[in-house]
Amino acid sequence: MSTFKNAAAAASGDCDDYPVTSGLEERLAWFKRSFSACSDVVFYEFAIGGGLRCALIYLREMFDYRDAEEHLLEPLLTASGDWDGDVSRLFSEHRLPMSGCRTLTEPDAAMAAILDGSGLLLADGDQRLLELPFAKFEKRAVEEAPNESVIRGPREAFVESLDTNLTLIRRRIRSRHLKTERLLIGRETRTAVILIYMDNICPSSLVREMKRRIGCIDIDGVLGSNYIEEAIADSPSSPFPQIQYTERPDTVAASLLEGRISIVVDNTPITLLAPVSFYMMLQSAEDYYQPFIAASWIRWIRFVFLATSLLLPSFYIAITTFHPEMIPFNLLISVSASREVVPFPALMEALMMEIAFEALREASVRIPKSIGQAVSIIGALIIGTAAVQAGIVSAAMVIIVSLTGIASFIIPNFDLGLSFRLLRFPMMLLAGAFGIFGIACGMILIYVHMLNLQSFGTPYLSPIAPQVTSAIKDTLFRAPWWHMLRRPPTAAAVNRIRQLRSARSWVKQEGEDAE
Amino acid sequence: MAALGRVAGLLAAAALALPLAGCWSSNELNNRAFVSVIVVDRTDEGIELTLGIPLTNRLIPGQTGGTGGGGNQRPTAFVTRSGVSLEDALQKIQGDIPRRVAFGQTHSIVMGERFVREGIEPVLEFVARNPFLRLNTNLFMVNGLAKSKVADMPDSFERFFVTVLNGYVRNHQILSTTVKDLMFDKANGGDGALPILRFDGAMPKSGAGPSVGTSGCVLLRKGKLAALLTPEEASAVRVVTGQLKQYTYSIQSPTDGRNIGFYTTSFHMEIKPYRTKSGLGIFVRSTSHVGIIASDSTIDLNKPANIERLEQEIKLMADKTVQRVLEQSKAAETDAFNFARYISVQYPREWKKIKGNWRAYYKDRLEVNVDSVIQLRRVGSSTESLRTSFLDDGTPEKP
Repeated sequence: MSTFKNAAAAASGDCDDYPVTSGLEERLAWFKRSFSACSDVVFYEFAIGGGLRCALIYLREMFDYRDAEEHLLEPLLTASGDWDGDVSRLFSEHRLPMSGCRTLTEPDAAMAAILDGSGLLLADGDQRLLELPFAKFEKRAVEEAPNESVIRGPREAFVESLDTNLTLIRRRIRSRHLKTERLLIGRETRTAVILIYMDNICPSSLVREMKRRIGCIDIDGVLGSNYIEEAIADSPSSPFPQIQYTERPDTVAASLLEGRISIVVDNTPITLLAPVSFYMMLQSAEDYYQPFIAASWIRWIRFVFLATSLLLPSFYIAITTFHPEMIPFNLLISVSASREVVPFPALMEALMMEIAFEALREASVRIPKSIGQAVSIIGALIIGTAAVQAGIVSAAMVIIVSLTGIASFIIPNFDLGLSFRLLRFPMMLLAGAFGIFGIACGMILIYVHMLNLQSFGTPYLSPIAPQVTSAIKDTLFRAPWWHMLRRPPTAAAVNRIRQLRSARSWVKQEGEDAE
Repeated sequence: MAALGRVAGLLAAAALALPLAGCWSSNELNNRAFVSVIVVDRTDEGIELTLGIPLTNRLIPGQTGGTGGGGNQRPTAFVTRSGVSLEDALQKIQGDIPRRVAFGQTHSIVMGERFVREGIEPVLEFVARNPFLRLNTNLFMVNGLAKSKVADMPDSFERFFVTVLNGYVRNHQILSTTVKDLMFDKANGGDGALPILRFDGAMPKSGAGPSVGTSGCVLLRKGKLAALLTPEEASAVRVVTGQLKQYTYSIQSPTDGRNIGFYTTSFHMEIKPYRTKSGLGIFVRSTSHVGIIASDSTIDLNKPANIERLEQEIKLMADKTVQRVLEQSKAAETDAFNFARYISVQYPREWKKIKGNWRAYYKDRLEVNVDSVIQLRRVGSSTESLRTSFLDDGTPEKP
């Protein structure tokens, strides 16, 4: 029995009492005992030529019994003329008309195979068990990325099926260097997690570190990639995300080519990418599909609105309550006039509106689609127009809050947008208490915190701080593709060459021909 | 924990720096009365201070009088109190206003003639001490009692009186003198030129008060009125202070005495001190590019000689006016153009010797050399006047 007592056994429970015998009855009884009260487990007993008794165990609707019938059972049941009664031939010789069958001897592996959706064939007279990999279950079709849509780029997005997701990546990188290491995490859920990396680009230390961190996870279940993300992030208590997520296979492929690791988790369309820097999260897949001039411009817009989403309300509070002499006279008159009937101090007004807006935003995500329109009407009409007309809030504040709201959605990474939405509130309190001085203090705190963050050894603010000049071309700008001759510093130092020569070296050649 | 300690340290540092910032008390916008213009007059009781404060509650968008001036209500309140000193008057005003008086938005100070005659030193002192009043606050003078004129003026072009004044300064339509200009050095402190605001008769339509305009200027000596200059001379003051940007004028043609109109397109002022045998002199040279805007004359502008004659003619006029203004300032013993600044920079050693009695030196001994360089750049698209080319067909005009 000791042979079955290995580590993997923990996954499916205790297998100590498994009868080590070639008899069918005892083993079948053991399986039936193990799967007692599992209404979806099917035990199908039959006999093939020569009266050999067999049993097939599978999960209903996860195992394609029609395929199994067609490819295995029918040949076995009918073409039994030359059956000589030697059971072992069923397992040892490759008589079975289909590939992928494995013979198993250990009950825990067999159990796992059944739970994975395979069928398990037991035959009287042989200890071995045959796994029939005809797993088939309902899955969603590949659809357009709902949260990271692009205009010019590919539209495919990951789905919940791990195998589909893997093919989506493999179809983009057809290289033997693309490694996909499979791990099982979750004592009860036994969720498959695949580490994907390019072994010639990704630093091996990064792979080792990733495995070390994931190896520490011992949890009963993994239902989404965030379970992994929180476990392996460097500073989990920071408001800033330190691991990128995406639902786009092209984003994953591009990151792999830059030496990063992707973690694909079964049953979720969201994959993880590490390491990540702050500036990577301000980039969208679209940047690389649009002309580089337009893409650079859009990146600058993002920087501007990143600052807006963090600072605009607090700046408004600080200036109106502490430093009104900074406002041009005519603007001051307009702002002051619009605030004239408002009964609240600016800080109070801003907090009220921002929280109302947060609620509106949360409601619009959670609300059933059929009544979503009602909410937007209520939000726009009541909180916007009516509140101003009633003199509860000023029109200037409504403009500020809406602009801030729009700004926070410009950040491509939703998690980063969330953290800025959150940090906005302490900044507003600081501005309300100490004016621009408070804002400056808050900014310094945030900056120092970001400087201290790391994601798998990559400084969070790289390549700006610490500065890596060569990588700035893809940070502040989006350099044209023919200019990106080298990979960013996330790639292993030994393999930084992306292009051996500029894709536009033909310009030079043309001149040479003419000579 | 190390990170936590760092954060705590930073917080402590920030808390310690707080008292330095001087921004403890927040004050809502609507608890402030923003003074847009300060009007100062001297009366028999002492100083009369008037603060022009925009009434934002009359400008609420979408409500009565929302666009400002839409109703009969003026969007500005003028609050006047008298006191023995400015501070005294200010305290009286503050005591009567439910909001806190805020000087952060004050751009202009308008003073009455009597106040200027007796010396504007209290205003300079007040501005220099108040942390919210800027040193580049513009100063203006009004003939007579300033308060009654400013307060009665209907705001025809702009919502606020102060916007009119800002517009004058921004567009270089008036001599701009700020508090800072009067506080350069002890040797010529309080010397300068103050623009005069003119208030013309009643408005034709509403019968309301007079409308504002620009006028000449006064020369100050030690902060007191020393000489009155005409509008023409005021523009010469603007020439010397380098503030003249665009100017339109006409001279008589040297050939037939008819008017030719000119405008200045670019103007550059150069002031340079120099040594003479007996002491110091100052060179005041202006370079201006002019164009012809209108011509009644038959002068042939294709001839370079004629162009030169015109340039000479303008130069003579310019030199004469500038010379006249400089002489007036010499006579009044006021270094209104801040020549002291140039001399102290260029000849610090000499400056040390003469700065004790600089005003007297300026009056009696400083050699002033005026030169104007006029370059006629554009003569217009036609070289002949409209009358010559189209209207004058040779037949004698009927009387």
